[in-house]
Amino acid sequence: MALRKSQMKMFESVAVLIIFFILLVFGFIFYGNVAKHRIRTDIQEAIQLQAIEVAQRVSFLPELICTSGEEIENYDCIDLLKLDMASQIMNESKESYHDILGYTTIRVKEIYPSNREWELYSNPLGENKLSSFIPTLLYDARGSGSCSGVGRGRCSFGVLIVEVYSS
Amino acid sequence: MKRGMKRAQMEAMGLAIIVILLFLGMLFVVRFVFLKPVSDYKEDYTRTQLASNMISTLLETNAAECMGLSFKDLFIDCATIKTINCEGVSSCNFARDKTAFIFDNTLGEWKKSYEFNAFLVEDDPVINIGSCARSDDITSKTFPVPTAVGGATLYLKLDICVL
Repeated sequence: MALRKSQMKMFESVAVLIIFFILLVFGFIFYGNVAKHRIRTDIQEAIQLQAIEVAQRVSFLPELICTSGEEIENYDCIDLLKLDMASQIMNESKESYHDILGYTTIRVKEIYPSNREWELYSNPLGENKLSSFIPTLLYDARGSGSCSGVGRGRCSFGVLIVEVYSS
Repeated sequence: MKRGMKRAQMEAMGLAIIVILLFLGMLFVVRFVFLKPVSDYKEDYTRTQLASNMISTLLETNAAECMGLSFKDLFIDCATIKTINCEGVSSCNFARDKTAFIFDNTLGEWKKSYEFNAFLVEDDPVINIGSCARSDDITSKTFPVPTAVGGATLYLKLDICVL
């Protein structure tokens, strides 16, 4: 009789332990999922911030921005004469630009009046990418007329396309 | 026997309370971790910058088919004296068509809905492109442009919206 009672007690202890471990495993799985979700969200936010940072850096690159007079810089404006040379130089010296631009592809597209496109820098990594579009003036000093705010020449409507890759 | 049953009932009750507390805890975590909306920094930034950059770039763009005049000149002429003629097309129609072309090839291609208005008086726009009437989520940018005609100010307003 006493043996049966002690056996029952033992079974009870074992059952409590099993339930305890089951709950512990569920807890770990739940905590793991929460942590995974939080890390994924943090990574997503970091990539978004990086995309904004790179887009800002590109639109202020001295290799591209327009200058009027001697030193006055016009932001949100790309000088087409500089662009032609910059696209050659930036693709030839990718290593030098990697520190500031990272894994990105940068293109400039003319929307109006013509439909031209330049690839400035291409350093892709994988398939995942975040694209930013920045409307920008394309200034051509060789054109006739005047582009207000920049100088003599022609201004067309273009877009700076910055694609930031995330592995 | 009665005492033993009472104790068992108390234990069951204790377990039930633990289970309820665990459940509430899990609900709390689900509500504040899984259902928390991801901050869309890029979207917020993009929409604010986009509306502003679109208009400022458009204003300085030269219209090749219209004596190289800037869109700013065309909008001002359209809203005031209406004397400019671009290869047989009035400044209003020319500016409207080309602006629609530019917006369709940018905002339209990026799947962003928009409404553009050029007006001296808000209720009576001289140029209207697109519509954001059905949207609650609108990012708006208004550019005032002095016209030098009777001291009037032309306003260019671009709304970027989620339909």
